[in-house]
Amino acid sequence: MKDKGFVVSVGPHIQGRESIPRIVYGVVIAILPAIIAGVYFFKMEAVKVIVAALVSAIVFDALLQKLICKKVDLTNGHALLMGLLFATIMPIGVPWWAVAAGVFVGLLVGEYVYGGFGNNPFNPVIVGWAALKLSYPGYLSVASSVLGVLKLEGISAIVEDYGYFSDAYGVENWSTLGGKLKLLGKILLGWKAGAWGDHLFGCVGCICALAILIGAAFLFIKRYISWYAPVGFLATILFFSLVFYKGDKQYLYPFVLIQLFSGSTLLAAFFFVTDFATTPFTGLGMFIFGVMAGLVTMLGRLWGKWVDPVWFAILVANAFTPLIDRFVRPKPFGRVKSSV
Amino acid sequence: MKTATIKGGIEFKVERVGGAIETLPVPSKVVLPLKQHKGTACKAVVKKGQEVKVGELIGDGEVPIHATVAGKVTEVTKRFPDIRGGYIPAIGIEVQGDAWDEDGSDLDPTSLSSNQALETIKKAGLVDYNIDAEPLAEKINFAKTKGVKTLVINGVDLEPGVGICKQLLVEKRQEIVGGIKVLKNVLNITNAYLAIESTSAQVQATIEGAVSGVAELVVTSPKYPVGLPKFLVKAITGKEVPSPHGRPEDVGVVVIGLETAISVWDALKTNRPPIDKAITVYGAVNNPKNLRVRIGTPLKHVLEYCGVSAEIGKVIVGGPMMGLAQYSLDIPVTKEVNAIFIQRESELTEISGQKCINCGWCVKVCPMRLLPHIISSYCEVGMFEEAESYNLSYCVECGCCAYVCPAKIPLVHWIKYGKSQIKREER
Ligand code: SF4
Ligand code: SF4
Repeated sequence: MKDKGFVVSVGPHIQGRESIPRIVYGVVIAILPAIIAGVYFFKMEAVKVIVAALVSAIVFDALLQKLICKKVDLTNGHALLMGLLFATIMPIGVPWWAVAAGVFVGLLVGEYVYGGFGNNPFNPVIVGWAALKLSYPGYLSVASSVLGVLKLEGISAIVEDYGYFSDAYGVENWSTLGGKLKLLGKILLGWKAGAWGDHLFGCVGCICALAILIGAAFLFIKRYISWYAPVGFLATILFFSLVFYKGDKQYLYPFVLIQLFSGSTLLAAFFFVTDFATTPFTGLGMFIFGVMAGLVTMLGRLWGKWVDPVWFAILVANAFTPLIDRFVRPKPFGRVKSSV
Repeated sequence: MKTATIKGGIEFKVERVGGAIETLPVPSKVVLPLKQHKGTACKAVVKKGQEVKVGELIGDGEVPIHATVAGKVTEVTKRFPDIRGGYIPAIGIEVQGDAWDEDGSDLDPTSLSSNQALETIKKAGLVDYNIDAEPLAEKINFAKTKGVKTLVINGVDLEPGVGICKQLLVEKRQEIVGGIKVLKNVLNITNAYLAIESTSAQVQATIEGAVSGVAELVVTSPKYPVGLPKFLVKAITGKEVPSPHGRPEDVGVVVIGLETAISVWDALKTNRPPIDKAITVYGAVNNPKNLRVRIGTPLKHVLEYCGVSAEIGKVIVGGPMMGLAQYSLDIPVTKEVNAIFIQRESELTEISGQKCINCGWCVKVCPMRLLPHIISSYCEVGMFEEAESYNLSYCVECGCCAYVCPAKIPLVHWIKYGKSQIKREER
């Protein structure tokens, strides 16, 4: 046993087990159910999008790392996550080159110009999405990105089209509790090609609410996300869909279900409004962020032209993050009001 | 019984070291630093070559130092390494015997007047055992001038894994009850709490029975750092000690350690100064143990007893969160030492060089409700005033933030650096 020359440094002398790569891979695992569901529902069409997103994310991430003269390191799982998350919010049928372009813009504009992971004010995945939405609106048109369902021309359209539930799910009536539960179960399990023809359409990762919830549960158990932002977000959506519903009373229930459990809402709630870098760092701040994103979403859904403004809403809320963090701060322990 | 908890902090899922407190054999040589408290060092009153008895005064000052063994003074040095870094005067003694010459008195401490008791506490060189080691008599006097109304006995082991309080609560119930009685009497207050960490219901019930009528039992949730006086006071009374320099006494509470209460009882009963200290030795040792160690025993002797097989990377006095890493094993166990934590080379903390990802985990765990990531990043780039505008000086250096940070940013390192730079600028 030596008796001198030990390492001297300040505490703490132990560190928690969590690290950035562990969190990144954790989120990768959490998104897998949604991806798998996407493949199950859309088959090859989903695979095409996923492969395009993954390959381009890895290639571009390596390229950009090289460009900013860092050692190329792909082991942190970061490119993998970017690719998978991007794929989840892409509708099927988007050509591979458009996917690649979105990923590239997302990485470059959304992340690398700010010096990389952690410093970016906007969610890079959504930045990529926004770039596509602006340049090739056709691929991300209303009909393709709606709530995971097919050809709807606006939320109001759903109201007239509830026939879908009987056609696709065989749920005719939801006035009883049993009917309500049955409808809920069907919606959680995923959309089906039905009323509107033979071809199922939607976003790769938004098709099955249950798959998203499984991933979310994993993130909660691992404590990679906290409840503040998702609760603020979902509660706002619930509130708006209850209070500002204008349609026939008997359709209120499915209306609310669609607002809450349509894939994009849940995906946003657990994978995007919980992002570390682009959302506030205090609990209350996260809650306010969630409320804000929910608010913009519902303003868009109820009164706007876009059917699914979720991603746009998150970008808007991202822009407010610094402001929220400025004003929402914990009061330090034992602070005495100074007389000044 | 009441329960208490704090906001923030971390629940460590580590078992506290259990087992009865074993008495460590006395080494062949002890070193007694002439400063084992917060304040100025004592003056040596013995010379090299002189023979001393157990309990003999060897250093005189505000908190006197006594020989803890019988033997011959081998050195009186001005420069002995201190556990905080730097140097302090110390006295080395070659051990010839470890027993008291005569039996101690058998007084009834509860019959002593408050002044008599205080006198003995001062003469015995009692401190409130922990890394700060405030002189106890001074602390009591301060509490009295502040008109303190509440006494909290801190029976919570602060650091994860340390099992001293937990064990003392089982082994020394009578002394604890007696100590609390005496302290209440000396402080002239009626309101006392005994805070312990939640353990088995049976242990809790026994303790509650033992202290009933003397102090109210408070059971805290097993959350670090609830054992820091500030947070204990908040958890029990709801009052917040003013930051950054306030003390529990400012809100009418005095917090005294459990082992200190026991030492008060023992010192008053026997009219002898304390010569040993209970510590937990754990981490990368073969047999983690609770030990009763003669004050002045070098760490090397303690570690040889517990057995160390692997290459040691770090030797930490205190615990893994707030402990002080030591350069050498010559350092002795003093009144400031509660535990020794050993780490293998492979277990040392890593500094990744990654940037903050704004996850907010540090904010969530900070018991002082600060924004550690912002404070630390200002300190890192030398913007200390900005860091202070985010209440840098409030930080208690508990280490929770750096522990949870997934980017492995040494937040406490930067915070300490910032504090020291500000101090330097003020000078
Ligand atoms: S900032 Fe200071 S008080 Fe807060 S968690 Fe970090 S070390 Fe503890
Ligand atoms: S825990 Fe670390 S990475 Fe997270 S906000 Fe604090 S300093 Fe940044």
